[in-house]
Amino acid sequence: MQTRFVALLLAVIALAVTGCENRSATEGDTSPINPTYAAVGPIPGTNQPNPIGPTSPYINDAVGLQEGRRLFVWYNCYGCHGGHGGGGMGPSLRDQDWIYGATDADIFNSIAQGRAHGMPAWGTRIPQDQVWKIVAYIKSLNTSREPDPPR
Amino acid sequence: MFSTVLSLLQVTGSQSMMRPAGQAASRISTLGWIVFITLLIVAFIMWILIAWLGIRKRGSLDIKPPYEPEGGQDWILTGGFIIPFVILTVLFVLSLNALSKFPMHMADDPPTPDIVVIGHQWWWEIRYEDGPVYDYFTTANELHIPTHRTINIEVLTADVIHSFWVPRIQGKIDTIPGQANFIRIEADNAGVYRGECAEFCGDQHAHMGMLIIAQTPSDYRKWLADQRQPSATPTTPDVQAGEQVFLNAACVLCHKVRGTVAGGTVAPDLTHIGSRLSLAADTLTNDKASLAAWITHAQSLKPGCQMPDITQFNGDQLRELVAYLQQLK
Amino acid sequence: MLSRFARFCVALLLAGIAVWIWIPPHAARQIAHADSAAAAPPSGYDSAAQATPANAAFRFVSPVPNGDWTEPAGDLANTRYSPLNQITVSNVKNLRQIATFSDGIPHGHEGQPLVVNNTMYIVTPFPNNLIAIDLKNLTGPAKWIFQPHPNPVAVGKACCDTVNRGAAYADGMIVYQLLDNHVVAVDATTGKQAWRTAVGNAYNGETATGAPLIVKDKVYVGNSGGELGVRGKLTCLDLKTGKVLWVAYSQGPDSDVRIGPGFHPFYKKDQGANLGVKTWGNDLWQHGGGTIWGWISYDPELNLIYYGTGNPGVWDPDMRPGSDHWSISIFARDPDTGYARWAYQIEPHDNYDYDEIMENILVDMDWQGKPRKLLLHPARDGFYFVLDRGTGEVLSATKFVDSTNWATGFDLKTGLPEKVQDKATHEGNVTMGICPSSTGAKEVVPSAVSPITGYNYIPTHNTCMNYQALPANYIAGAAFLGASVKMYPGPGGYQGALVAWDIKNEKPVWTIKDPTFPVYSGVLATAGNVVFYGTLEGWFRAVDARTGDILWQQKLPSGIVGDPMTYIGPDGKQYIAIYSGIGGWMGSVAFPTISMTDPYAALGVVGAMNGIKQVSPPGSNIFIFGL
Repeated sequence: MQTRFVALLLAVIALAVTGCENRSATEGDTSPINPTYAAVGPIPGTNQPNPIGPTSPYINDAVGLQEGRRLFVWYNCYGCHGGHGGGGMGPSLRDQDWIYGATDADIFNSIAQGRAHGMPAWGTRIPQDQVWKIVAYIKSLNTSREPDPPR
Repeated sequence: MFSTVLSLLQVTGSQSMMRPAGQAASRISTLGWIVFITLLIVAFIMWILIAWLGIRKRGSLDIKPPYEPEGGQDWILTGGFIIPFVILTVLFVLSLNALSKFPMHMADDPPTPDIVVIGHQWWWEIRYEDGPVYDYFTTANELHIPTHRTINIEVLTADVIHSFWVPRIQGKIDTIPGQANFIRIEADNAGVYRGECAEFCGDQHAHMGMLIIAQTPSDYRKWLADQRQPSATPTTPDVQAGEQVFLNAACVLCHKVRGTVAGGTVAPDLTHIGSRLSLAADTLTNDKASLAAWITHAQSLKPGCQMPDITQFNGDQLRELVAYLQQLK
Repeated sequence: MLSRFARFCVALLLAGIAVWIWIPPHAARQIAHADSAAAAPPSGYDSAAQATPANAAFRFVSPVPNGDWTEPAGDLANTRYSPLNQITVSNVKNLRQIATFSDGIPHGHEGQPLVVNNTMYIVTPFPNNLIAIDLKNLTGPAKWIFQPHPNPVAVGKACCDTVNRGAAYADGMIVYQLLDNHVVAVDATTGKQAWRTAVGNAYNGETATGAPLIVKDKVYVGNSGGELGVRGKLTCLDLKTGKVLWVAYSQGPDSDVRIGPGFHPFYKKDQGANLGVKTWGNDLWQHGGGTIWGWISYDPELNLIYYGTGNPGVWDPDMRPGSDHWSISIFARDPDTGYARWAYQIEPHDNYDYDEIMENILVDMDWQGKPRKLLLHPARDGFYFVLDRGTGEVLSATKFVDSTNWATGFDLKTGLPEKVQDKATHEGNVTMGICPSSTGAKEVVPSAVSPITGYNYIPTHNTCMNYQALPANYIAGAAFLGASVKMYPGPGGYQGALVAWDIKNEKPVWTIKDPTFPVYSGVLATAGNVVFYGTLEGWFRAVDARTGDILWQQKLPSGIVGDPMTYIGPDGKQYIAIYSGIGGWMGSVAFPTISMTDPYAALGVVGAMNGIKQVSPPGSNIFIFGL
């Protein structure tokens, strides 16, 4: 009876330890796809919609989304795009309108390459992995997945 | 028993509370010794009594019943109540006495802090707020104090509860979100004393160290004057190149180097990083190899910490960047 | 022989010194005054003496526009009063729309057009086109459109919409600022660029939205960008060539601030060397804000220019311990050398983003029985300041919006506000219920004064906020904000009002309350005793200057954030002109690029602007009204 209890206890501890692994620290560090090739507009001569391009590995990762929120504040995104992405000096990120495309890759490009009306190009500053976290956070805005929603 | 062994083991370490180097710590230590010796004596007496029980001739059940209805009650009253009561009362009074000499949080009269210590996941921000405001400066993880002077410290947190504890100097004080706590410390002798966050605060709690560096008043004044200067202007071509690498990379988003456009405040201030003993909250020693490793592989050295792996540099750039950081004395 | 010559020289020197001592400086000033009074006012203007009516509550100090409108505020003293009196209390009900013209740019139309020689000049929001309209041919095409093509990077650096607060005219040239910090001078007849000078760098977050002031042969412009770690500065340019003559920063060493031996601040707290560095912690003066995006005034008699500076660097006050001079201050400067005569810091160590860039209205009037040279400053922080504009002494600071609760008052002996500790903001903490909000008890939109009633007509806000200071990283070219702010309507069931403030008796006489939105338009006072202003819903109103009765109103297609002005048309009749195009800080919530689901958006104003999208779409029109 006692040995069975100890075995059970060990199993629970083992399970807890595996759960402790921090996904955000280990995932998506080196994305091989260059998102530069994600087109914003339609490609002439094809009937296809835009190729979707790479997606953020953190879309459904609660820890990654929380990190994205933290970086959104740290890197001053909130100063221009509103405390929770509602807009201001820069356009709203909470609505359905995407001036430069709505896919993860488009948003990545907007962050990494900058845009003409004042959006700085963060690509040489923010590590790629962190950009994907910010992309995931932006995609989560105004959804049930949004971390730290405005109150 | 376990804790006794543990604390005895610590006697040799730089983090031992049994080797006090400050007023508060020595009171704690004295109290600790009194408690330890008193309880040792009690335990010794108890062991003798237990041994005596073992060797005492019990006699036979035929001659005597197993207990004496009239005898032994004095033992219970004296040994089980009066003696413990006296000992515990004495210890209680001594503890209160030691506590009362700790000026900690005075809610209605918060003292003006000389230094503000802010816990972050997982490092310590240290702000020197002494003198006129333009002399204020910020450093990280290494708290310099002059010897034989009482220093008021305000402890805050930027995120979760941490606990600021340098065992050889002072008792623990928690950093509570939304609340300022105060502690007063003093070091008797010059030296380097290690501390550690003493409240579990996440992944890298174990790597949230801090050093108190107690200096003679004249050394301390010199250190203060140095720290108040903006960063050194790079002179050699290598270092100049390193500065450009620094200013054009991710570093400036979070770190500050006074005298340059790097104005981050959420990560340690690097204005005088070259003069520090350690990196990453006393996780690594501050040398060329550790700096390069920390810049490129922070997530391997301290997984989950908020310093990302910066992998954008080639070998030359990394060498120049490290040279730049090292000359920020 | 030589010694006799030397004796002669010494005697001459002594005599010179004696004469210099004998004629005190104020006499020299009076001489200067006599000169300026003797100089004829520009065409289309009355001299100060002509414009001052009999039994006036105060006297004007600079020529007043009587027909034309060549400076942003009409006159140099920012009174926004016109002696035109064809439109009166009795006939204003007949006011009708004469013309309208769209510039096609649906952004905030702050400021006002100019009228010179029967031509109206309109500066649009970014891309800052200058449009000349022939007043003889109001239905015809524009005379010309000047397109300066500013750098679009500036669009994303402008904190509060891409507005422009107007141009100034002198010597046949229209001078104004572009959003990307270029100052341009355009020939008023041909529409050709005369010169163009870059005075700032938009890539570092600096923008330009304020109106210039032209005094004699010099142009004065301030910059914007206090939310992006910009250092505020006033730049003086040569009107003829556009060459930069001097720059006066709002912080830094005294040489940067242009503080010299002639600097005599009235209060002890403002005295001392290099306060622009010494009162800042953590070297934050290098990103110290204090931008000058409001109005500049000029007093020809004292020969001083006046302006206010904006909020200090980052909104997190704990990051910049100290009083943070010279943010939130009023400066008096010599217009030629740029050296400061006096300065007064209204709020040391700002906790609330109370930019004091409001207009400084210069009038001469009796104050507590003595004739004084006054500077009137209805402040963003909810207090009405009356200063002696010669010395910088505060004569009065009285609450003009009741909900104001960050301070109980001002100590006139020390010049310091009596701050309420509960309302102080600190890093990490949320401070609830601060009134007024960062947008102020009054925004940049200017008030007007009338010498007939002695009232100051102030467009006010009744907005409060919760304020959480946050540590911020300075990243050049990105927002350097350091706060999470949520605003909401203040107590009392209204959010804005036009207040007629009795300057002499320091109390409101009448108010017209707006239940839903702040009053965000400038005000015009006229000799016909009619006061004009607009609302964010788009109502343009004519009000009885004495009683506050609404005499006439018309709904315009978009909310009004501009300033009404008046002029005499080619037919000799009086006209009123006003922009209809919502925008600016609070008005930007009407734009589709801002979501209502985030009350913290647009620097926290969204929470105070419920329903604005339904009430007022963006617009781009100017309306001209006449009898």
